[in-house]
Amino acid sequence: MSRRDDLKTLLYDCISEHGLETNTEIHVEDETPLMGSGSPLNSIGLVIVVTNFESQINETFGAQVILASEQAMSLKRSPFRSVEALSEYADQLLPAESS
Amino acid sequence: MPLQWLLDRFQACPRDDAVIWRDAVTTYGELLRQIDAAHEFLSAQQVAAGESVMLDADFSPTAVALLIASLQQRLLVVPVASHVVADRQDLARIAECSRRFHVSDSGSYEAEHYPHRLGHQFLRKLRDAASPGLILFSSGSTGRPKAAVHDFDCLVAKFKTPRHKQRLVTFLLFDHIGGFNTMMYGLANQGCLITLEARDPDTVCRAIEQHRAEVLPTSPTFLTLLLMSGRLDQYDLSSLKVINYSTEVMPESTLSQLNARFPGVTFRQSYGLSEVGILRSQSRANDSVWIRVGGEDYQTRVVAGLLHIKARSSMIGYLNAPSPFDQDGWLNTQDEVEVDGQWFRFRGRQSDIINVGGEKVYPAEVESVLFEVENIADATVTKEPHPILGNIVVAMVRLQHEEDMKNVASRIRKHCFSKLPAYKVPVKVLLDDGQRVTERFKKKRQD
Repeated sequence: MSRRDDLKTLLYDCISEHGLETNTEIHVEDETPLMGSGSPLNSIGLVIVVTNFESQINETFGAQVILASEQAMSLKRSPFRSVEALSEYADQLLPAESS
Repeated sequence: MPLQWLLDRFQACPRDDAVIWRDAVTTYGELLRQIDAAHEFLSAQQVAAGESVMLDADFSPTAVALLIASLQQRLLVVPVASHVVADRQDLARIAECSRRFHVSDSGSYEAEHYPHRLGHQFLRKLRDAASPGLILFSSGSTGRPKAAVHDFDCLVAKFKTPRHKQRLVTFLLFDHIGGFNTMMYGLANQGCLITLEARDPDTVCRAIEQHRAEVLPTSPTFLTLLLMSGRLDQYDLSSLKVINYSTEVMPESTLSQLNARFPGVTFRQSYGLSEVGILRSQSRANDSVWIRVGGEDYQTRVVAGLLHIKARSSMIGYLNAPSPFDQDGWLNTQDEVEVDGQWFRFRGRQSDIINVGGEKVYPAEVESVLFEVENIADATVTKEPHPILGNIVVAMVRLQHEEDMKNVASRIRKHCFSKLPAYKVPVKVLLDDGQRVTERFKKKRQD
């Protein structure tokens, strides 16, 4: 499994964790948007999921990435447009994998 | 001479306990002799009326005597609690002190000279009117300490009305408006001041038990620490009649726990500021955080949700900051209140309120819910800037026993989502390093 797949699994875990905390069933797929219409998350939900995802990444990979930043917000193609896109964005922020 | 009425009261009860210091009793007769000795010390020092002097001390009988003698000699007194870490030189410069008086461990007076002379118009005004003054520094949890100048006669006038004679613990500090209030209330009513060598739960409980204290004026933060300590059952605290809590918003959950632990004790919230003194207050019920404040010397009004106060005992002004009063003498306290007829409920300092995506979050309200979560010993809610919401709510927690923080955060959020609107739920939950209480037992919400 690639690092991006690991990241995606982490993100799915964070989303289902949020579902448990709010006592709601959150159904997402790779292409489900994380913000805006069509997202199962409200703005607080998004921020909690992203913050958790960030700390899981940093713990798992010993990194210090920041996902919710001015930079992320100003990208033409929002990293929050889908589960897949956020996993990809996180992968880009992590240092390149040593072969 | 100023304060003669107070000394007359002391003279009427020479055998009664006045101050308990390091477990030794000083009676009012002895206190009067110590006041004479303090006058002799001031004469030997050749201090002139209207000089500004720092009194670096605690509530020892010798310090109380020197404070009273200094005010009788119409000095401008700057109390600084001896164990508080503060740059004395800097405070002396701001308050234009000519000297610093200190009470040594053996109880003798010591003096240190400073080169400062009175220049500020407020201090000159007091000197020229031959009025004693009291200069109180705000605790300065945010920014530099501000020096509030009081005409002592205005501040002390309300204590001439006789009230209950009680045995009070001097928990609040010597240089704090609340500590000053405890001391004046105790002495003016021929009560007894029970002083503390430290302010941890064991020391406080031991003092209450040993000296049969009736009143404990303290802060919600200390009461939380007291509940957490698990030490309450070790002591006989049956002498306690009143617990006065002030200075911060009391979490409702803590108040209900306290009521269960102290049946028969009256819980009373008080409200005061260095700028205006302590208002008389009444709690709606023992377990209620709604209070009525005022008294004959105070007027209150609420403007845009913020409490404004106009007081006869208001300070003259700050030495080192612009006047906070409007032209009619009203002070905007910056405290947000909810109003129900004549009752107020304090929501928090405006500067502590967290704006999450345009919605207001009151830290105390969230803290109250956090205290309901299992394994949470203490909680402080603070904020962090966030690019999406402006700010997010961050909870700093202390645990009763070790637990994986991921679990803790998850349990906390689950409980909060069931009790609070989503925007009030802590996004981050961090383990507290134990440094979030100031030396004045207030929550430190800003670093």
